[in-house]
Amino acid sequence: MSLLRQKAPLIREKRLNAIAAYYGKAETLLQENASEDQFLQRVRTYSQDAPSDILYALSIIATIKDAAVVVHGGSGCAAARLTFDFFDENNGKWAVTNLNERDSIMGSKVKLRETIMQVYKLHSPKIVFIISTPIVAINNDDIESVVDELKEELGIAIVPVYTDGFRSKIGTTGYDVVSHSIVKRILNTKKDAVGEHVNLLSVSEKPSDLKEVNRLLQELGLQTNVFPRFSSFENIEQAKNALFSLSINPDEADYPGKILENRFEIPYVHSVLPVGIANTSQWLTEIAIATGRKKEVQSLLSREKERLSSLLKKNDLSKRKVFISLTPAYGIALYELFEELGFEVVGVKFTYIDQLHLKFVEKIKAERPELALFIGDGQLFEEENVIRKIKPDLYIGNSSDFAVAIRNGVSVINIQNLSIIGFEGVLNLVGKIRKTLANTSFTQLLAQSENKSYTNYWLNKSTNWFIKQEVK
Amino acid sequence: MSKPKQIAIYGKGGIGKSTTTSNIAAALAEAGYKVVQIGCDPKSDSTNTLRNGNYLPTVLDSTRDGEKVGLKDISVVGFKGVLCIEAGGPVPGVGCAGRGINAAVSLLQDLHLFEEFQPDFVLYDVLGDVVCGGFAVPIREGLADKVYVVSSSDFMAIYAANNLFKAITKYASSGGAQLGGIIANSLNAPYAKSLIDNFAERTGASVIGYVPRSITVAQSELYGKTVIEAHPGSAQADVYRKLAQRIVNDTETVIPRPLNVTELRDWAREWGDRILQEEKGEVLQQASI
Repeated sequence: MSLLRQKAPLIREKRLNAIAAYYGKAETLLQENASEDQFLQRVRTYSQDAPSDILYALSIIATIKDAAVVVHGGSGCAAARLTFDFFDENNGKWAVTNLNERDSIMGSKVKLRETIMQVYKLHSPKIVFIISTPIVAINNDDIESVVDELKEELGIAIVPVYTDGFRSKIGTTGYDVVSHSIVKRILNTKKDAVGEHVNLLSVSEKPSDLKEVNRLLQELGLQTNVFPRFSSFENIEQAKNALFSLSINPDEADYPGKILENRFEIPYVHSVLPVGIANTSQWLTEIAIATGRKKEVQSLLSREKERLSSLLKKNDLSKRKVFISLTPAYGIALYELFEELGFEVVGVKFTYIDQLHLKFVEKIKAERPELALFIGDGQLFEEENVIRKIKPDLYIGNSSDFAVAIRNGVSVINIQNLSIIGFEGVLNLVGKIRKTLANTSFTQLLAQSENKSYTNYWLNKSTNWFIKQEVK
Repeated sequence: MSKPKQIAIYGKGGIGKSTTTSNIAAALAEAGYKVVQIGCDPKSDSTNTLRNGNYLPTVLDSTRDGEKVGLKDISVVGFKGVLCIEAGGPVPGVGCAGRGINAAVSLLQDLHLFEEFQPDFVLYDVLGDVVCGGFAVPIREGLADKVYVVSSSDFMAIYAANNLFKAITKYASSGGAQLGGIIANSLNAPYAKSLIDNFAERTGASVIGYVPRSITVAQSELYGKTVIEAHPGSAQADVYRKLAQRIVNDTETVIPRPLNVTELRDWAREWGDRILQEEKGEVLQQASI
């Protein structure tokens, strides 16, 4: 039970030696890693933005059915929850404790209690999540006694989520906090009996991603139980009885997979992110080994590959230059897919990198020793600096950063609303790439406007100008 | 591995809490137990007399964002193997000391201190005026099993003890620590013992030991040592040994009944009157001779 003993998990920097600031060769990273200290932490002496674990935590919680959310903090912190009011059935099922100066001094137990009571009366949820914010974390304000009182009184699950907005520079830590809190607080009993289902560990996947994953798993005759994103109270309760847990995104599933294994001895089956033909095949093969369904997987693979073969025969994409700017799991999977398609990957930017990605760093060192690894979340000023220097033909990223590419005349693929998981995902993506590279006039038009986002002084500097190693 | 006994010792600043804690730690170590003492006070001088003047960087000085810190960077082995750790905190006038204690304690958990060192006893020496949530960390979240409070017969020390009782009562129902008892320290006034006994009786606590004011303590401190180390044969050393033994054997804990503001005021006034009468009595006796 050791992983769950504390109220929140170790931050990714400590648990997996994650780093969020780096620009340079793979070789240097590997040299550092060989020493006792592993990857060295660097800081940005200037930073344009920073991720918050609260946002990441809310992005999962907002999708959990039967749940209501209390943001425990100042009213401004509720803006974080507003971002996620796009999700249909949970819209409006949240409140903020609206802490003021007096509460920050005297403690906020009464307000928290009253807010939970109100949310309970209005929405009759089966779970109330309490999102801790910086005020509560800094004050070390007491949440536990309210939780203890009300879970008895109301007879529902009340789950404090100890996010704080400042301990970690890796947003994914926020995902870990949610899984930790759910397993610690809701799954606090023994498993009933091993069921027939498989935990599908979904953390940031879109409904369309899950649709494709479920399609493939159903073809193999596997019953899935989604956890924690898009889960219901029943899904959560059933997580402890699963045959095994299966990763989609191995970075994000790492923590829920490990704690379910640690607490309930549910084997954690993890593989690469199923993006691209090679990776999806590898992911399915891994499942075949875990479930003894080798035949089924083989026939599924040959059917799917047959379907995709005509698509890959056209050799119209080779020699084009692409810049990838994504989370590490997506970035690594796409690096391989673009290589498969014949692209030249001229730049990679990952939001962070950690011990789970050593194989990739080694691959880069061996095959592309001169390619700079760029690590940062957001930091558009650095991204623009790089893109202007290397001038790619195509940029693939998220809606948070693609503007830097488009205003420099680079065609953009935004995967925020594009499902690229599985074999369907390959079809979607390749179709999108062809369309994007064929229709460049909008991008060209935008590039003509005078771009004054950053001064020439900055754009001529080296990209890693503000990334420094701390001196003790 | 058996779970270590975790004990938090609170007390008003300057009441002799670190001296008492260090002597208890030394006595426990002398009796063959494996002991960790963690100073939870931004002054970071809790373990001074245990480590013979050896430099010990505080937990908070050694950490920065994400930087890796090992157990060996923040601890020193002192007298008879006592592992000394100081949480540390900001310099006076800046930052938030309570937040510091909070962060230091969670770092020690991250480092798996107890799994690595496997102590029999962990003593938290905590600044006793529980001024904010940070200083209550050792008694919250099931960290310490038992709390002792060091108090003299001064009203302000009693007042701080009463406040601590309030904090214990608040957290005891949600898995917080309970009270082991009061350690009466630097007793010299004739009424001191009965005053503390009376306070204990009123609040449902028990006094687990009486430590008389002693020049041996002052002298040992000046030498930078505990009494157990500097004067092992002294009567004062035996007082600490007995205290340590009591802590080893004691299994009982209580949830105290702190006095409210008016009760405490009335209780203090009552004692004020009694002390005055006693003093007058002495004067009258002397006059009659």
